[in-house]
Amino acid sequence: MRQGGRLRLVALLAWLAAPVYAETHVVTIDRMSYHLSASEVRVGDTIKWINKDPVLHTATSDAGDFDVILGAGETARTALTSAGRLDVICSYHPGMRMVLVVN
Amino acid sequence: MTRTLALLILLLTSNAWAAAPAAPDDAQIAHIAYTAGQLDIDAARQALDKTTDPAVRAFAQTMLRDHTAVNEQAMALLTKLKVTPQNNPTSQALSKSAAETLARQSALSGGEFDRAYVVSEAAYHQQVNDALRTVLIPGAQNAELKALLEAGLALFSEHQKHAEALAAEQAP
Repeated sequence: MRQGGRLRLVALLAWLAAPVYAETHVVTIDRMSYHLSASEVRVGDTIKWINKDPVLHTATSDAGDFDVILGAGETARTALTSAGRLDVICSYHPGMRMVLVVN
Repeated sequence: MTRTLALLILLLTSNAWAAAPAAPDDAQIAHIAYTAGQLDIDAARQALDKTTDPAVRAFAQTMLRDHTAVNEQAMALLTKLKVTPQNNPTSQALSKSAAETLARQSALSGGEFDRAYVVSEAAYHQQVNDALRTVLIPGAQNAELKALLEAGLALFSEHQKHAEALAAEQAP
């Protein structure tokens, strides 16, 4: 392999080996809805839930991965440990739903 | 309840009726909103005394919890604004209708009570939400009071849908 080619191979291997940094994505609960600002969510990322409503809500995964209870003004964090589609609901308000796709 | 409240809302929103009461001011609006919440708390307490259905129980607990929280928030705002809620014909009509509903439902039990409760909750929330949209929110002068009523409407709209879904399940 020529030197130029070897350098490109080393660069490619370095890029592949580079760590993917986990991100925190905020989901705001406001006026009886979940609002996720992120466009992409990955395994290893964290969701930060913020309840801006005056009432008690939950963020409950139908797959059983998490069940977070949030009083008015409270925040909580959930680590996303597996990929897939999660339906998130509020246990107290059946009309409140969100789909979370974890890549 | 429904006829009295509907008539009052019609009077408040119509300009064609010469004898119509003036549109409510902020003190009266606050009283109406607070009263509406308190009456639902009372209805929830009756339901929690009588129902054994888990879904109806969960709904009643949510009504009790949510309306208590919103009323506490409302009182804190009114204290801050130095507004004293003022009693008025709409609050009185609401209270009268609610008392009639509680009396009627107190004679019921089991599935009959559950059906009556969720059906009256669906109707009650629809009428309160209509009043919020057409009279209370447009009429509120203070921006913070208006914002509180708007947040209340979002919450009570979810309550309405929840009650309607339960009413559909409870249909005999």
